[in-house]
Amino acid sequence: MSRPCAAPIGWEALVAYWSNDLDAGEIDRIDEHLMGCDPCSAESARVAAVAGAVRAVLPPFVDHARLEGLRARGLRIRENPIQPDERRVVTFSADIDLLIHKLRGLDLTEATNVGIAMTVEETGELMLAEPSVPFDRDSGEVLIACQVHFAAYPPNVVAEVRTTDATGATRTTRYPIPHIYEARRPA
Amino acid sequence: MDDDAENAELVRRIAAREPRDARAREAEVALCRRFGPRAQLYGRKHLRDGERARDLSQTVMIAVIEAVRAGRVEDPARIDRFVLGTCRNVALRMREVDSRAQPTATEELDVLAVVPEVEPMDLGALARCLAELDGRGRSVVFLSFNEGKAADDIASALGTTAGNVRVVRHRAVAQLRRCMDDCRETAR
Repeated sequence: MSRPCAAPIGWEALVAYWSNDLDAGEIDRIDEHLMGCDPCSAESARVAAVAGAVRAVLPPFVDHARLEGLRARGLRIRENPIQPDERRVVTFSADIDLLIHKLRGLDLTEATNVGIAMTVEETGELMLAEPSVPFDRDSGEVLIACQVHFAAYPPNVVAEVRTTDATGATRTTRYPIPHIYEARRPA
Repeated sequence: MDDDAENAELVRRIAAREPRDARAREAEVALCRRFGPRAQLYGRKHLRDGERARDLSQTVMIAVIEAVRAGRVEDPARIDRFVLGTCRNVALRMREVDSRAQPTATEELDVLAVVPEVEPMDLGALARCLAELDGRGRSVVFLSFNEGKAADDIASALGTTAGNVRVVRHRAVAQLRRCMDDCRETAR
């Protein structure tokens, strides 16, 4: 049983520590405290587990090189090409690991940045905003890596792709994507 | 007896070891169990790689035990500072060579066998828990930990302040943590 800490490091500071959001002096101070303190070290490990897990999951937006890497690893991947404003129901079937939405019809040749906001179609609620996603300038498309656990999200989503060029001009393109997630057999 | 006194006692028992001294061996195991996970955590923070963190922990604890056996620890009550200094040196060396440090075997002590494992990740639980976060919390968590973005950059991307990002972030991590704990309880 560890003894309580007289001056515990707060949760907020530990989250900042694991987010690399502290200056070097503050990190040193926390390192010193953690090395000598069992309860704070245990609490830090709890934050680290969350940070490490988030770091390990596949991000929702990928480029073509990453897609090929995933294919090479043996993932069962289905591609779903979509044109702007095309509304076509797509099924995440039980026989695949990954559904790649290919948001097409984009002129990315002059793009300096591409951001995507995912919203709930019915309510407009923002689900996910990624201000800068990976993209391949010559491909004319950006890729969303739809994963089986996205079944926990509302099924009808809208991806709004915002492209910015060197002059700062922006253009927004909309892709409604209604999903059906097929039931899976328990492993 | 407080932690410092306990640490000092462990160090003294190791330093005074005789061949096949069971008490010294127990003290070495206790020291590894206490500081091995902390050294591993240090490695995860500063090397950002779980496997390299395990290597660092092993290398550090071997070096520490050897130093204690040789009587090179000047202040046994502050062995934590000695461990931290060793962590810093080993991490620096690992970064410099940009490859894994190769731990050398030390007599009569299998560090990996006695250092407890860090918490295994349950990505399924994480996915369910991420889905329960609100959109902003999920964005901030992803941008912080998956993309490694700074609070200022996230703030300008999401049209808010860095202070707000920090508040959203620590609340979201707390919610994820609670949710993952609940998932683990449910799985038992």
